[in-house]
Amino acid sequence: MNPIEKQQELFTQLAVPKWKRAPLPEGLFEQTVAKSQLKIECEHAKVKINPMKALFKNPDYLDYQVFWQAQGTHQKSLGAKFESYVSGFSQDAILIVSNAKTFEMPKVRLDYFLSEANHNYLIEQLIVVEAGCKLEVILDLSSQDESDLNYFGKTKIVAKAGSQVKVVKIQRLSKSAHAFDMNLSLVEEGAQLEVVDLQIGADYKAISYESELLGKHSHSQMKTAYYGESDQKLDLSFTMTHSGKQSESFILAKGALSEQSQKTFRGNLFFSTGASESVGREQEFVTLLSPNVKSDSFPALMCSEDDVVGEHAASIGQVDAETLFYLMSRGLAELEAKRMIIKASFEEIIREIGDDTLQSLVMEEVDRRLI
Amino acid sequence: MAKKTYIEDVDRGVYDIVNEERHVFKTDKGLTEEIIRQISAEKNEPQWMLDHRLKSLAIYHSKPVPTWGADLSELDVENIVHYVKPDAKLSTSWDDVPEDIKMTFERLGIPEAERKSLAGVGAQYDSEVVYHSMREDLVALGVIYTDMDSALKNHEALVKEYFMKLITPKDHKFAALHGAVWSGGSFVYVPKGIHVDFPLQSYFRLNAKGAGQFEHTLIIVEEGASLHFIEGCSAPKYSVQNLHAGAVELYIKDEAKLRYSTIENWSRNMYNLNTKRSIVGKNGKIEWVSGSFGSKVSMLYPMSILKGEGASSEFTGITFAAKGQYLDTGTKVVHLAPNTTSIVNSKSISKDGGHAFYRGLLRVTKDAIHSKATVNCESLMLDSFSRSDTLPTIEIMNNQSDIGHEAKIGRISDETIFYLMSRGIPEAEAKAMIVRGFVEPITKELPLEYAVELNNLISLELEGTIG
Repeated sequence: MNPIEKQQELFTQLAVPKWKRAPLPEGLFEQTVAKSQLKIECEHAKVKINPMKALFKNPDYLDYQVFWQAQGTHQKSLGAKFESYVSGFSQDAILIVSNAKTFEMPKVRLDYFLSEANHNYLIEQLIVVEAGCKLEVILDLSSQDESDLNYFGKTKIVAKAGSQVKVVKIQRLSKSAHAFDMNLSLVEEGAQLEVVDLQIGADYKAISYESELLGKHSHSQMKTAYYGESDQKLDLSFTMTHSGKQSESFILAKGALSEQSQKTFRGNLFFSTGASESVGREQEFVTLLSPNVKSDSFPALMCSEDDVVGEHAASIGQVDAETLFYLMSRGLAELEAKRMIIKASFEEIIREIGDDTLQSLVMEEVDRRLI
Repeated sequence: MAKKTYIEDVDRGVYDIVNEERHVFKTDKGLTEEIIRQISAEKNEPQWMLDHRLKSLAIYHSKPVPTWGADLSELDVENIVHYVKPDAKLSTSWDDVPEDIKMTFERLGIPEAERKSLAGVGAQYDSEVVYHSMREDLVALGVIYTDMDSALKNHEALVKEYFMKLITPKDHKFAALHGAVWSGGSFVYVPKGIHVDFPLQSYFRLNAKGAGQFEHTLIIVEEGASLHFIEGCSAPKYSVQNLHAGAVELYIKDEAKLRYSTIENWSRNMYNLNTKRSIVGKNGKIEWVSGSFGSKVSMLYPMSILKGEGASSEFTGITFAAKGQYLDTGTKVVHLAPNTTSIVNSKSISKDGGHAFYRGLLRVTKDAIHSKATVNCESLMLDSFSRSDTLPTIEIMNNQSDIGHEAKIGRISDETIFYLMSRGIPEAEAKAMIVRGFVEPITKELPLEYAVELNNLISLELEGTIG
């Protein structure tokens, strides 16, 4: 049995999990699997991009898989049912390997367009950045308006020693879509990983990011912005596991909730014994715009090493009254002023996208959906 | 490697002195309907209380042992003696208390506390209260401070109205156990508008081996009244486990105020599975001061239910987890009404393989508009064999409240030491200052004699650098 068949078997054996805070939509795994329309942009010669199915027997890929399985011990994810589903039935797998030791960060842009309603899209990426190399990957997920579909994503990132990696994920699927996204990364000695995640669309989203800081001086940073409207449900989970000495992590989550939307945020900082002189920080800011929203937060700090600094802070509440008053005194209507304040808070994260056209596209989208 | 400052364990000297077991009545080990009937008959209780006990027992058998948090697999409830009546009658004069029991409390400073505050002290030995005293003028004003068994006899209507209405046997397995086998504890009733101007104190001591202590504390502070209640707990160390599953129910009516302080220093083989809950009326206030030092396993989350408009709660807690200890502590706050406020300040120290876990809940309901809440958790780790975890849960259900949360974990920073040294303070003193400063928010909330005791509990032996 090959690894893919193994995953398929595992998937059929496992029952659909029951989630307490935001119950899963019915019939999630029953839709037909479809292939997305993928547009790839990459100009750098040292960055290899290959669809994974053809690559399955490629020794390179097997090598990465072995590497992954040997070192990755993930503590938080969406669960085995989701993982085996994507690994076993994926139609959109891709392997990206960067060997680019350049001054400028080589860019790869992947535009996924999910065209068919009532289908499941299973999209997988393995991103490997070799020692001392650089890479930036921008993933843009979009679909037709009002199309009802399920997206299941799985991204694995291996940032080898001394590498610099940036991954930007923009989810702007239709309002009636369901999005499930798992992101697992390994960060080796001296490597730097930066993740920017923007959750704009989808009715139900469960997102998990997990980073293992394996090496000395490894650095991982995750920034996310989300907006919840109507009766949308969001479950966001961010986990940093420090095992390397002097490793550094930072989680920043900014969001706004309106109407009857519900959000669960889980921020986990784990410090293993031996991860001395490490620093982990976590910040969450939520603006609540309607009396019917629900905001749950679980900022966990789990520590078995004394010589570390672990901090988390959360601020949950309304739009700052003084700022609002100032803007209204300058002639803006209350709604307009609130919109401006929220946009400003999101901008900090949207600016990180780096790509001008995409940035203004996202800004427009936020504008359109806000309040 | 830098030398580490050694912070000594809590000195358990006087707590570990064991008296000879003298009791007039002791139930068999384990938990059966027969034993419950025995306890109730021994206490000569009204029928409704026996019914309550039996109902609780049925719930206890139907509920599973909680699997989250502490590992309770070693706890063998069937091997615990649920009721031990010491050979002493309840006295109001210290001289009448049997010599060895008196000595125990003398060592723990109980009559000393009484001399200081001039009455207002109760002491429980094993399952029963052995000593109670109360100032005359307050008795005249209608303040009731007595043990639960006397309260059940003399103020039955009051007890029936409030007993286990806030913590019901259905809450969890150990609340049900408590409902079935409870014995002893304190009952305080402060009538409308009365301010009790000195703290009432209660001390629980578990002497018998392999026994459980299940005291019930019921405090009712009527409208506009105020009270400060202090509770201390200890037990000597035996080779068999002891279990403490008490319950504390606090009713704070409109405009009333209660400060409830606990210093808990159970022996290191104790399972401390205590339930504490308060309900606060309009503009009322509950203040919790909580120190957890002892026990092998603790699961303790005092809860404040802010039911009346403008009600507030303040929780100040410290947990010191040393070798072999798993202290899972925290607090729960539920905002149910508009304009309610809450503050949580939690500190923990873990050392020598100890595991301190902060687990908290902050819930702001849909109706609790214009509420404000802050949660601060700080954890200090003294070595890398220890563990320190923080898991606060924050649930917000309206958009007109402001919630802030902060947590920090780590050791004493070199920068702070450097700063103090640059101001001319010697290194050793700087470090001592930092540790004392860390626990200071708790010590300053305690009455003097308890603050002194707390400072003695955490003695510092400074050598090299901290961390």
